[in-house]
Amino acid sequence: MATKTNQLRRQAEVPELPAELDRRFDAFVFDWDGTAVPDRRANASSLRTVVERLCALGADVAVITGTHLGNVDPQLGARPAGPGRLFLCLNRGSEVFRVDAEGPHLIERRQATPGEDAALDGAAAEVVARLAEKGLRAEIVSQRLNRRKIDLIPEPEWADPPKARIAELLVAVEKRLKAAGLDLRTAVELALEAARQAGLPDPKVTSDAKHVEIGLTDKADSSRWVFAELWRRGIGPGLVLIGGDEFGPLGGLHGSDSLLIVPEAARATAVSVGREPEGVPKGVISLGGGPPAFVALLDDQNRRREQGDVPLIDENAAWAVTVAGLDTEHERADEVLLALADGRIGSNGAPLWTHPAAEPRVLAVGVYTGSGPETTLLEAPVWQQFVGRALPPGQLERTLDLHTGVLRHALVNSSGSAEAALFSSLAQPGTVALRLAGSDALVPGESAQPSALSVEGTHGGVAAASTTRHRDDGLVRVERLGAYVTDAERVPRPEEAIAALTAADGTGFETLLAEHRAAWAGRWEAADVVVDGDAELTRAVRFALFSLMASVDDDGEAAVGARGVAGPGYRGHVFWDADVFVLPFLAATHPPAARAMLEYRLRRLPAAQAAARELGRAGARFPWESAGTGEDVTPRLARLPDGSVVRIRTGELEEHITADVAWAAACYLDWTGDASFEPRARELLLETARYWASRVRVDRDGQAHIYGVIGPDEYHEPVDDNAFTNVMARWNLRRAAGLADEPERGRWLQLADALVDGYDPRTGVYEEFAGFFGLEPLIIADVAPRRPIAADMLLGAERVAGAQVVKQADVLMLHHLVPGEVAPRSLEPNLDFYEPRTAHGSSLSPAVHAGLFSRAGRPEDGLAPLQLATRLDLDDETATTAGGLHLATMGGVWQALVMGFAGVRPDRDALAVDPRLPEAWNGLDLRLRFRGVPLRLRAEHELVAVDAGAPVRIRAGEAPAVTGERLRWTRVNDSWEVSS
Amino acid sequence: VKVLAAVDQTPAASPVLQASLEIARGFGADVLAVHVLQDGAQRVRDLAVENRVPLTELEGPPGARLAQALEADDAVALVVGTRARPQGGREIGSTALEVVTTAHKPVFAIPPELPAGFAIRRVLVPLEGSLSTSSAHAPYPYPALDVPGAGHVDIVILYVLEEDALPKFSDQPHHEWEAFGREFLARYSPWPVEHVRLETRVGRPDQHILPVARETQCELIALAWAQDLAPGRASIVRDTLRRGTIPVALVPVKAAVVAAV
Repeated sequence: MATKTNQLRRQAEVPELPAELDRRFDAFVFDWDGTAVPDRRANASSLRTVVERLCALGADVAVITGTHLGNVDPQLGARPAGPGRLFLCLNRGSEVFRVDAEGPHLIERRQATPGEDAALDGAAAEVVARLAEKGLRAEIVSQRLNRRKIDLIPEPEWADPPKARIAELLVAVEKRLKAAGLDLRTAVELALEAARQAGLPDPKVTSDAKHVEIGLTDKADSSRWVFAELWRRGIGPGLVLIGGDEFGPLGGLHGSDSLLIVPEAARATAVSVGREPEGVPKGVISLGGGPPAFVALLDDQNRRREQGDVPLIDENAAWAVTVAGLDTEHERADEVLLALADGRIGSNGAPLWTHPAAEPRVLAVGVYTGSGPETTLLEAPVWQQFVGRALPPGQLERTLDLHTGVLRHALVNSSGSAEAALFSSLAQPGTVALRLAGSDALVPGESAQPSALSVEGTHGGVAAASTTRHRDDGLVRVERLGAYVTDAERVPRPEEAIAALTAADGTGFETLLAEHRAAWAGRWEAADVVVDGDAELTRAVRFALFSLMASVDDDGEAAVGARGVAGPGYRGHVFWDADVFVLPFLAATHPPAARAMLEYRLRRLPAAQAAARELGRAGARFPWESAGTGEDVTPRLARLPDGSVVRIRTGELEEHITADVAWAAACYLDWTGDASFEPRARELLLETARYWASRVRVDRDGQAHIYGVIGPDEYHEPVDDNAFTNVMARWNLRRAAGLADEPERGRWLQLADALVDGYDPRTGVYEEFAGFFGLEPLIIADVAPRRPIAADMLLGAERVAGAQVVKQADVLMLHHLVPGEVAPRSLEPNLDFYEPRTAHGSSLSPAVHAGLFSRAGRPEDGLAPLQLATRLDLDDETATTAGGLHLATMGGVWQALVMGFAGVRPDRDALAVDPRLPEAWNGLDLRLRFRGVPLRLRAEHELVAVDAGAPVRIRAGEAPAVTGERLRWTRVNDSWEVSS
Repeated sequence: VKVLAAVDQTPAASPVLQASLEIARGFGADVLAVHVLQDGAQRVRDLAVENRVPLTELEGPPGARLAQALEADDAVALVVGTRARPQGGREIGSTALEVVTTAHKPVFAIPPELPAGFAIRRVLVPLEGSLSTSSAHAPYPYPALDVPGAGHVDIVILYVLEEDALPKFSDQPHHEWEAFGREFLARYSPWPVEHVRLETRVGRPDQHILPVARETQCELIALAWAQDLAPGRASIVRDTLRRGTIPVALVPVKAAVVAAV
């Protein structure tokens, strides 16, 4: 679309700018000599002013040059106070300084080893000697950090030639070299050869015509560092302007500034202000005009920021969810896919303009209204739409940038165009912001008064305040800031929201945006997953991870409803989806959020204890569906699609939730080793174990049973001795026993051992519940046109109740969650038995099977269910995505990849890894955090590589665990051996 | 605007006129009785006087004349009678068939056993879950939602999930179908969702339309259809007309892409 960059026409200024530069950039990376300044004696005060202003307006600036600090910092003299940052990347890729109001601070330096220094000296001397042999006098002019500089033309006339004389210089040098039978390219090759012979494996040799330099690093290293640093702050390369004056070839060599265009800079805009005698490479804009033009270009960017240009997003397909047009049929589902959330509030991606098919919505996490089963999430005031302004006809495109959580709207029609950027601050949850600009026919021009109000829920409430500013400078510009204060227990006053809004307003849109982008980028640094070999699958996985991260607060308590806060579905009720499916991802990537989820359960422990007491039992019994109070809010009746009204008994009977909550606490501890949480986790584990101890019945033979429950396979109810429930209870009792005192400890271990689990050692198959094997044998493929299918709808509830039809992983869920509690080597026979009988009538099921296929050595079979799970909401497979996101499925996707395909899980004191990947994948790249140590794990068919921020203990396959920061294993004869 | 009541000399004329008056009320329209002269007109004239409606007598081929009359700008709908078939059930007469398959406006088929005091208080609207059928209904105000003084009309939307449309998942039925139903109405209800309620069934539409109409006490069934009565087509329309005992509104789908109906 025409507004992919913000090229909205303005009244005045810089009309001569090419279209690619007629837009906003958020970071500036540029060369020094010839680009920013004409020479080292030039007055750079105007540049200083421009750079300091850019930083003050939130932009990042990086100077990349071969020279040293003394040649740049005094000349530039910038002392930016932020929030934007100034970096000086010096000494040809070997140093980085951050400059702030206090001056420059070294933040990174590549220091040559003595051996490397000797090699550099040797190489330089060898080059001078070889040139001398050819009759050409050259001199080693300096021994800079990590490099040696050889002057090819050590003549007084060319002692310090200005950039403007580059063409003359080149002629003079070429003439000199020609006399020796050389040219510049062969001189560089000679230096490369000398460097390699001196023992440098990857020498960096460049020439500025006058010199040949041999070094360990070059400007490409600086550029890579800068783009990595920007990426970590949520500034993708598409938002970066690269400036230089020597991109084009020089004397047969690539221009020195072409080194700035590293692969990591893909989508960046490069502009040359140099003379470029031999032209610029494809993709580089030749602006010319030298440093004055470049300073003017930067100043133009300041003007854009000052006038409130709408920020762009880095248009990177690997990180984007785009909805083109407005499809009335799927609009509400699309709005959920485009939702912004910060863990505290969720705002769907409705258009800024009203439309009959649109349902703009804001929901607050964990703030409910109503009571009992009718408890629903409280609807909060909407900020993301301009009431009373209908969507004009035209092309609408909305793109959510998953890397930064910024939603962009672009609208084009015959009367003009408009663009907007919105975000819900991850750095300051509850703060929202949008900017909109466009022609007056498309943008609301009236000024709205600041507003504030409170919305009351049954127990808590939401206060919201917003302010909207308008400007008209040829374009109508709107900036709206909003603040939400949410509380699950009391109704916040409007004044609280006003105070939060005032604080946000003081911070300002640009800083809020920069902090928000940095917060998201930081979360991704700790959590990204790449399926190397399937870019589309990677994008879908990222959408899942984005949704999970956005849905869970990491402060206080986090009530994670089954459909998150992008939609009202499932009334915001909290199921085992949260504890078992969502929490592990957070425990392994962002522990504070996982802990907040456990805090939600802990704060409702008294309600769970009361529920147990009410049934005459001990300990704590958690509710199948939970909301604000911690009481069970499961509805008692349901109207099914066949028109029948049925009794819902999950609230009464689906008791495995109690063990699931305990499992979540253990999962958190196993990943984090968080000693500060151990007493709290102990409370959960002990109280849940006490419940099971009072729930279990021991028969005359001494066998223990749990009668009358519903397992994950909800097609059968009630059942006795559901394998999942019993084994999870057994796990709960055993895990808690390790924390308990006598006599509870002994009794729990005894009960755990006595609990029947339906395992038949002859077949290796667990019976899902007592009597399951006696039901009508049924293979789904024989009776259903496809899978997954809601088999109860297809066959009727009565038929499925009497048949071996499984709604979702039940016995197999044990192999996924507690592999140590099931019989060794029992996965394969149970997968063979139950997989064909599983309808996958629950969206929780396919991802679990995907991972288990891989564990069973059948990764290819896991691909289809994995695909299905990743596409569930993106393709609105259930026709209910409008009601919200299937967070458990998304958590399941992460588990399938990490626990399944990569075989990663905490195992006693180590992190176990044992990848089994489909042929089509090259590998899996995972970011994880184990016992407080962030790590990158690369799992391939024949390789496991771990790079950690501190020593970490890893066990690959059956190999003994090893501890280190950089660990490598290779597969040898189907087992893993440490390779370094 | 006018609702045309196609009347002839048979006993079907009386229920047609009676229903037309009620239907016209929903449209905020008057009734114009239309008779194509074939075998006299006295009974028709008497009936028109008796019901206080104006009568237009036309000459020529009946089907073509009725279709022509319905093309008039102020004509919003046509009401025809169905007749008993010798083999049981009801069908639209051959004259009316010509109109029904070509009309661009709704045609109401009235069975001979229309009860006395017929009033439309509740309408069953089976939808197949496509925008084309929904948009066919939308322009026609027979539910009288926007007509002042037309009285309140309930709309019951029926969606029958056939085997190939069965959902893949039903995580927690009590929440799932609530979400599914809400979104189904948001997508396909021709009227604001606060004016309608949804009934769903599993199976084939022809199994469920008439029973649901009875259960929900609807006085009218509105079917969007592609106006194709070729063998093998419009089985639901045929079946509903044949077995039903309440009026059926046949609403043409302009795009003519309705497979199920």
